[in-house]
Amino acid sequence: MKYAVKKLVQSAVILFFVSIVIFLAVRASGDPLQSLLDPRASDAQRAALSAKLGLDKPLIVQYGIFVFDALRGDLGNSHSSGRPVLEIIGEKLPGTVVLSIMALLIAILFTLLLGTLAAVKKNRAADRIVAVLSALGQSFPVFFVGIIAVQLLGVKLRIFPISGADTPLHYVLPGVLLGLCVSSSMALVLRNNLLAELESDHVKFARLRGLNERSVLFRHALRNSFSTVLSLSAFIFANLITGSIVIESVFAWPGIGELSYQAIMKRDFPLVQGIVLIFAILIVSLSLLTDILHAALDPRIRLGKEEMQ
Amino acid sequence: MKRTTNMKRVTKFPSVPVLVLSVLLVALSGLAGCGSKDTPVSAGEEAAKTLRVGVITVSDEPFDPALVNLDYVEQIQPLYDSLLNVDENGNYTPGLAEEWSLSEDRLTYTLKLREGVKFHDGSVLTSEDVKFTLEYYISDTSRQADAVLLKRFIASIDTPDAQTAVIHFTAPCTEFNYLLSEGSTGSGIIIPKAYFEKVGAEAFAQDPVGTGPFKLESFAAGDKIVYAANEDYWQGAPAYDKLILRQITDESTRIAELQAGNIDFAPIGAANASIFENSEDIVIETVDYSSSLAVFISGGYQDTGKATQNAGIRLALSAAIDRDALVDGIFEGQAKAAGAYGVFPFTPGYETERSVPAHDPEKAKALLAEANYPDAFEDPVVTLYDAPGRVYSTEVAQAIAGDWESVGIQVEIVSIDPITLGTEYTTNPANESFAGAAYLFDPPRKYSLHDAFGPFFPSNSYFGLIQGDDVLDKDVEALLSQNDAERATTVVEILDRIDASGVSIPLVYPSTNYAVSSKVKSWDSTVAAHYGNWFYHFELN
Amino acid sequence: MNRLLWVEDLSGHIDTPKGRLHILNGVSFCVHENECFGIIGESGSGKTMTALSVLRYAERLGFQIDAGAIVFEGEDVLGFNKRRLLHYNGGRVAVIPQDPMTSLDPLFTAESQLVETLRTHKKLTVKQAKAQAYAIAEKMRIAPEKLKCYPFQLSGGMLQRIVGAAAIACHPKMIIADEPTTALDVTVQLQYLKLLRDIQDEYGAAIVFISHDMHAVSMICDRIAVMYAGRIVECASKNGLLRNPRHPYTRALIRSANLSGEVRGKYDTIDGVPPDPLAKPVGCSFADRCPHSMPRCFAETPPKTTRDDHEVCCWACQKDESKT
Repeated sequence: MKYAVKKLVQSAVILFFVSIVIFLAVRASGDPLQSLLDPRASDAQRAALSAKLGLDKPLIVQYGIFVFDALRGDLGNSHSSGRPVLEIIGEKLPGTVVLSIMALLIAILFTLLLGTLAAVKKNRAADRIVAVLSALGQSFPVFFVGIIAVQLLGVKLRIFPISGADTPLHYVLPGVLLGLCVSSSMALVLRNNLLAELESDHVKFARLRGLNERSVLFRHALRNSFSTVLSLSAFIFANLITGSIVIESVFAWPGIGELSYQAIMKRDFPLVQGIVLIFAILIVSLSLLTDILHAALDPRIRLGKEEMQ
Repeated sequence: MKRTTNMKRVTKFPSVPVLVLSVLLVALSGLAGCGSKDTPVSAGEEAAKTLRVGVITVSDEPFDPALVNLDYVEQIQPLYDSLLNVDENGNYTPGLAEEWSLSEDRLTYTLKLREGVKFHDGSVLTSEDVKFTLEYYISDTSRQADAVLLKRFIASIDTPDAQTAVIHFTAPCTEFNYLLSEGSTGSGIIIPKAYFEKVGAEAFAQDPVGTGPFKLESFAAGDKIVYAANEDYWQGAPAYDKLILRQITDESTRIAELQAGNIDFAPIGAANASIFENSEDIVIETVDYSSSLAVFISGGYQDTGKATQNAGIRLALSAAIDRDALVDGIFEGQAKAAGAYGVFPFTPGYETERSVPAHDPEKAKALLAEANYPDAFEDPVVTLYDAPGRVYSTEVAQAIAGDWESVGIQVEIVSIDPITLGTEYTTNPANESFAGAAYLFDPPRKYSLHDAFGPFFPSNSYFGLIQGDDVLDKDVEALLSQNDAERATTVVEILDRIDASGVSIPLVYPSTNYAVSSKVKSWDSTVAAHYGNWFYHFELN
Repeated sequence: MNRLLWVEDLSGHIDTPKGRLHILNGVSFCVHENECFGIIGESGSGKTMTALSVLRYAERLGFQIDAGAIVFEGEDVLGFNKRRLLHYNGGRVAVIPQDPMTSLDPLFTAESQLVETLRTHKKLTVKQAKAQAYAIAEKMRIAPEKLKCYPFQLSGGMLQRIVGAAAIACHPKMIIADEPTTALDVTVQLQYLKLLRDIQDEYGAAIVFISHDMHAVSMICDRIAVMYAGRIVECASKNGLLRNPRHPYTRALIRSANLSGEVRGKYDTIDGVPPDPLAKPVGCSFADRCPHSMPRCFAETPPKTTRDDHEVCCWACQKDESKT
């Protein structure tokens, strides 16, 4: 219980620092009035807009307003459209999150398949093929593979839709693609962990107890190898969400990546601040979730170092 | 009982569950799409005749003409009409206004509105709406690009009857044909007073009402806008039912969607136009004079020791550039070499097209020698700012730098982001690093003479390119109150002075290519159609 | 007594980047039903590999059998197919591993691993298996609440009992205990050894007790074999071996173990080192360290000779016999 509280306090402190940094950084990046007003606009117009957006107040006051409102759930209004930031993010974030979850699930599936295959067929053909695929997956830019996939599956074969996010089928190309690229780094990690586990004492004892190889592999070896994959997953999921701009531009996917790009280009302070803050909250929550999952998976973490009997 | 065995470790990969799993996955993804139609257009749109356009951005803009960013007026245009329309020759034709006239003293502008024009909510357009709209555009909350001019000249607006609006000017002004036309930045768009006052500015921005050929059905920023045909449109309902503007930023994806038949119309860069050469379904059509590209020399260069402070050097910069090579090489023929910046052959008042400056490296070298370049200058390096935002800007910058270097000018290309560049050239006085620097300038097209010169050349202007040229200042100011015949003479004088100063080096008028699928029977590809309601003029098969 | 396990002239090697390691060079012994059989030897003598070969696990580690036979209950173990092997491991021959701390899966409770073992070999519902697990735990003197713990929550001694319970759970005919007391405190060792004997009496299983610890072996084993450089050099009943060791190596071992508990002025060690497994053995492997070695010892491998149920492989011993 104390541990959970400590974690929560830590998270709050992190978020506080993030808010300061993003507040300052975004204001250092340029003048939003540039993109909102025609350069020939009059000074009166400039002043009016500046006042309306609250940009004429001293920095400390602006920051105070930002934090105070944020705590009440109000992230301000976008400079360019005037709509509430939370509403705008709310339109785009779910799509990206769903896509990322799908990509992660596919990645985990492929990681399990390929990593296990490589470990079990160590140094044989299958292992080498997985190693090559993994290297390819990590070195090919997602963008490039995306374009190929679009050409092959979208244009030539017309199996899947290419862009937009209207139907569930629209999730397939970007989701599978992302999942494949992401799994390439995890697969080798799993392979190596699994190989170490397969040579461990408890696996040996399990075999000597007469457990068949399937049980040994899936019940004992794999479960013990999974914790690293889990940690990686959290990291990768965070990257999927915050780095989605590339995949979103190739597939014209209206997600948070595209939104953040537009917001930054327009120097839309409230929107950029809002996005970064939401990302920070997401990542902090993710790390909490990972801790919980680790504890659920491993009784040593869950129960701690209790008194030896 | 001896037995020699040599068995390796036997760990069989549990192949059966893996196979089952993979089959399941493939089946699942196939099933996922089974419920929806096989074309990726949602069911509702299938039945209707729909024009699907792939655009580069669907920006999160308010639908309010006073608040929309200048770059995205086109996005909201289908909802609205302007008072005056423009044809391909630059002549003004009736829009919401049937007649318009300027008094002899150029102080009174009278509009006669068309009768029976309805807004989308059913209310009728009257002069009250015109008065309300124009007063809104000149208010302080308006971000209208031309609000400055409107505010400067509008003294008051009378509405003697429902079809007549009379604008009284503060000083003689001939610019209002342009300002109230569809060729402007949207300052001619009329919005309904009653509805606006009822719902307020914020609600209007999300749920707009106009007189235009389309009504707003749905809007998802960054994704798409769906417009539905306005059956009661005063020019007659559009020839199809729905207009969808879909954001597809990446050009290769746009091409893929065209090839897959998921969109019917989209802009394509010149380099990729050849992909469709052999296509049966898709035709490439070119619209000329989409914008005007020039190199500007930033002001404030006097006494800085920079090379560009010398007029001869600036003229050499122009002479060194091979404009034909730009057209053929970088724009692949999809551009026209330009003799002037900012004015187009059809800009009212621009009578004689100026000849394109000749590519004359010898002349350039002579000018450089005359100016004793580089020795006479503290800082002989010419800095060229490249803000990659517009297509081709980097290639153009490199080509120009190459031309300059080949006559002996030292060049440094600096990459900069568009917003920062915008801040730089609106800072007056210019920052030291920026003073005297060259940069590419390619703003959205306008049909106004004054607009081409107004911001840049008078010495007291925001941009301050030419310092202290009283004649120029007077001429540019005079444009605002001159009729077309008078302007024709003035503009020649202006252009002569600008050319002599060398601060504005015209390059090309880039064209835009559009990929048009066979689903489109006809469309208005004339230049003027680019502003105003060009989507209205599409017909589908 | 019937012969439960019969190993005849087992030889094998492992190929490493350094070369071929000749680990077993003609191992022969047999274990009878209900017997507690000890195999004693230094590390590197091949005792663990012998056990692993009997279990058919050695091949997973790259060990290749060159010659020899392994017969269990009259069946050719080396010829077992996969299905029979799965039943053999854990069901007919069980193992008590050396290090109990790492031999259990840390993610599962002791109970679940016992249940898992039971259900692998017998058709039981989870409830039935649990009941049997608790019954066995009682026999191994494990308190019921300990079963619900995870391995990291249990002490070394408790874990040793748990793995012991997993071993006897399916009533195997033979249990191989590889250095079972090495990881335990001295005080616990005695308890554990007594427990093993009790289990044996109760279940009627044979125990193969592999160790380098002469004390432990001598406490509970009925018969003891001595292994050196991949061969069994001497094999006899406990009393026979301890009172009348014939092979010079055995004698040296007993002396250095100081079983009689005499107070001596110095420690007795055996001069020299065991032979390098990379070299193919010629003659008696102990010859270079043996005080009684003759030229013949270096040239010819001494065969096994038996007298009064006491086996030994030694030229010097033969010579003695012929004298008497």
